[in-house]
Amino acid sequence: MAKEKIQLEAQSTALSYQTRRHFLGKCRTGMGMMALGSVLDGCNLFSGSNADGSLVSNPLSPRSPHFQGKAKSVIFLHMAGAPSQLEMFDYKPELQKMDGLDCPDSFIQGKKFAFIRGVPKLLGPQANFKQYGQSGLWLSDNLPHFQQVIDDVTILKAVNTDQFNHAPAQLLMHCGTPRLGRPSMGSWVTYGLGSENSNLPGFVVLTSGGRNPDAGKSIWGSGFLPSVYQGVQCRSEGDPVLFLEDPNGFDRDMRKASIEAINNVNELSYKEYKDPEILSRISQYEMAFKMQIAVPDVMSIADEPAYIHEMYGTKPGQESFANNALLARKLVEKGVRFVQLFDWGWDSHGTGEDTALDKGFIGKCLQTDKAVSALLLDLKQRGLLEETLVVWGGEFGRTPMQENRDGKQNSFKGRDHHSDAFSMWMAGGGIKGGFSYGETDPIGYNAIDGKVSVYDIQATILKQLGFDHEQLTYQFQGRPFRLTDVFGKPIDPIIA
Amino acid sequence: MNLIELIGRFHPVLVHLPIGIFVLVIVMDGLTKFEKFSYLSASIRLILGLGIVSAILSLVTGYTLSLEGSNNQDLVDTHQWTAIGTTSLFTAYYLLRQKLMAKQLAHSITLIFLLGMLAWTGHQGGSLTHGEGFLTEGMLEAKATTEQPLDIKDINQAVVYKDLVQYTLNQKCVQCHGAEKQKGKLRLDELSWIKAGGKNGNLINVNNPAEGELIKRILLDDIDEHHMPPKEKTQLTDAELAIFQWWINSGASFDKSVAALAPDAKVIKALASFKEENQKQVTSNKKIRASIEPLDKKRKEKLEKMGWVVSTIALDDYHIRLTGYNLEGTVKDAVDAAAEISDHIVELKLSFSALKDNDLSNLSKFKNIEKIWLDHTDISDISLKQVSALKDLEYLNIVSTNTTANGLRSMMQLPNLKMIYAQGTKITAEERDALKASQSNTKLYFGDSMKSAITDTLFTKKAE
Repeated sequence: MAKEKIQLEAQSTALSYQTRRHFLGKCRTGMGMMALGSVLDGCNLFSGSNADGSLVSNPLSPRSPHFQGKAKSVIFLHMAGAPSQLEMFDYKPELQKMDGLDCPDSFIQGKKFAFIRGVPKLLGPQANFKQYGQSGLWLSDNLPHFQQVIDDVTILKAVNTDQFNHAPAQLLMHCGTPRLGRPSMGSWVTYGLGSENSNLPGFVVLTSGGRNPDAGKSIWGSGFLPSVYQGVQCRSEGDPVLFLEDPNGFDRDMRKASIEAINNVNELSYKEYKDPEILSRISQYEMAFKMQIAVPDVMSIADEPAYIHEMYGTKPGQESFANNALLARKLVEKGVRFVQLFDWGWDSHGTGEDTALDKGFIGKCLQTDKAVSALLLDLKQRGLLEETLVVWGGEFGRTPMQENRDGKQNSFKGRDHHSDAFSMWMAGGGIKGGFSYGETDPIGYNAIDGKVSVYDIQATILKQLGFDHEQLTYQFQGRPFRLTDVFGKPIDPIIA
Repeated sequence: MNLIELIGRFHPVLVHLPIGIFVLVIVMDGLTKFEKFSYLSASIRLILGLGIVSAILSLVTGYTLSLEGSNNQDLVDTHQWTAIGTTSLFTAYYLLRQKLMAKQLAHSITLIFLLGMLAWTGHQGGSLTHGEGFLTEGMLEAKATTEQPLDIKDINQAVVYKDLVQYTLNQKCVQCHGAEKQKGKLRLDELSWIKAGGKNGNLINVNNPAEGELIKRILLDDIDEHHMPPKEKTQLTDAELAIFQWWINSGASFDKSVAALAPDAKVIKALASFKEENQKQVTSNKKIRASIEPLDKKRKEKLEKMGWVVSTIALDDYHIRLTGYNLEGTVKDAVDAAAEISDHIVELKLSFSALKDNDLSNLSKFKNIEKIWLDHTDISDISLKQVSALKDLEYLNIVSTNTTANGLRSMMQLPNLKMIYAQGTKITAEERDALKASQSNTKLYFGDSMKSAITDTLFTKKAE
């Protein structure tokens, strides 16, 4: 009985590979070639297997970029919820003078906000600013440590997005579209460049604990790219990767034997069906086996010297942004291509104490400022910053107006979502240091100079890695797709 | 490679058959016009027929080859259609030849036309295999080097039009709008042509600058087909655009100097970065490596088996970056195996490996190394001695090793070495200062310690 069922299932699986599209695909060499095509399709006469005798070539083995890139790795620090640029990087003394005044009509006419209704009041900067470093860039006192690395950073002050809700804006930032289904930036990069360390995943995601980003795991998904390129979420508390440990009483040799057996079966079914996802699965089994040793090693920060813990403000065994920042350095140091950090709690609407710009927001800044600054210093002292591009930002910015949810003044000082102009920064990987690009109007509402889009950020990241963002494409559903859709231009003035 | 691909790969060989046969046909057909050779006429039909058969075979193999994809798909498509067209024309000629023979002139014109089509199709094929511009490479080379580096000492004395605007036009526009080509019937290489404008009207509109074609097209979004320079060409920088706009806004004078046009703060900034950008172009040219053949597949696989990760630098640069995070066997064996392909290697990464001092005895063979990572290993000054043979070295990472100031001193003599990262070595603080003070182009970095920031208690209290 069971045997029959298995046979039936095998039959229907086999049939499912013979779809109309499959058939038409085979016809592509023209009707004359059709007969030949169906005879030959699947008999790879000249390749068959790789040097080591296995069927699978490692999908993460390195590929050449379009040109020599300055960056080899990326660390993307995403402050989910969208931090207020007006209390961190974009100093607007004029706005202070206009604090409490009604927002001029010209700014709100025809505009849609997430929560602001009617006529809101302008809200002056809730922080003091000073100039720092040789570059004399402005920084707020919410970032007391960042001044030490300011001369290694380019601040982009006029970034613009076209989404004002968290989930779509996060999707746009990471996948190049506000809708679901596209690969994330980390997936594109690992697809394009492969990995330099076959024992570790090429794309690692670390979250600070607490809430996951609104857009969910799709912002580190692989979309239509083979699933081997999706981000591997690692945890700084408990097992670094879930379900990686062997069960009790199961030793490593037995694990190896069983993985080999499974992969043999998978290879047989690949020979029959030619589904590339089977190859992904084979290589993922192999990688998981290697990761069992390598990941716990790289994910343990307990062995780091005391001065490093002091520098980052890390506490081993916790789930925290600081721990993740240190892990990011450790991962990049071991050849991981793309490390994505997500922090949360930056949605400073002012509806409660934790989202107030003069309370909870300062806490968020202090929680992360030291670790971010330490990360840059640490990368630099290890000679890693030259080849590591660090990107910091939220999914959008915040309004110069105080939020008045449903037309009523919020109980705390907060700002609404703002998509027209916000700040991000980049450092390392061939980006200028101590440089500011872009300018907003005197109240920080619109970009007046050096306006860049989210696509431009993506194009710049790809350029630093050695890619022409228009050429890094993947054929799907009959047309080539790329990260930047049909937009984007590298921001050349910030490239050193 | 499967059989279909194999068939496609015959295309570059096979195409020479129809080309040869068709040329022969045209020559013979031309000769039949002379009494002496009229006997040739009888053979032409057969030869032409063979030519058509071989042409059709070339079309099939060519199409199969095109399925592999190309980085110049446009040219592949054009080539495909002109080839189909040429084959069709020869087939038509085969069918209509008898009738044409009656009219001498029409016959001659047809032959010349066919020859032209053949040459054109063949040239496209050649461009695909050898790269566009291969044919005229040598001829155009001399011209390209005539580009003048910017030579302005005092920018205030520079003539805005001649020294800045025309300079930029020469760099970025005259390639298509100059003496050689006049796209859109426009020339930008001389004052008189600029004043004349192109087929879409005036370039410069002093009363309404945004309406003059020059500024209008530069400002168009780059996905607009009328945007200039075309998207794939080098774009104007922000500074260049700012200078163009300022020049036109202030009357588009052809002889006034910068000072005479009284630049405001924004323009002064643009002028400064204009000067910097254009002088940089001359000095900091991209490093050009000697070209090298792709690495032999067998050798690459051998290295990969030893645990090396082999990354090719770029699509058009087959030099290699070798990374050894997970080397199997000893590092010495791995390095010695890599020495067999040492010419390819420009970057060598041995961070966190089991590297020991004697493992690098063959390092002097790696003549082309530009960057080397020996960090987090057990090496000492002995290994640095071996590193000092690398004359092209630009980057050295010896973080967390047993190296000392003695070893480092010899490094400072390397002519191209720009950066040494030496945090966590056995170098004392005094030695660091002495090393940093020594005359050298090499920068040493020992790391900056984190200063704890002073955060007043009131402030932190607020945050809680």
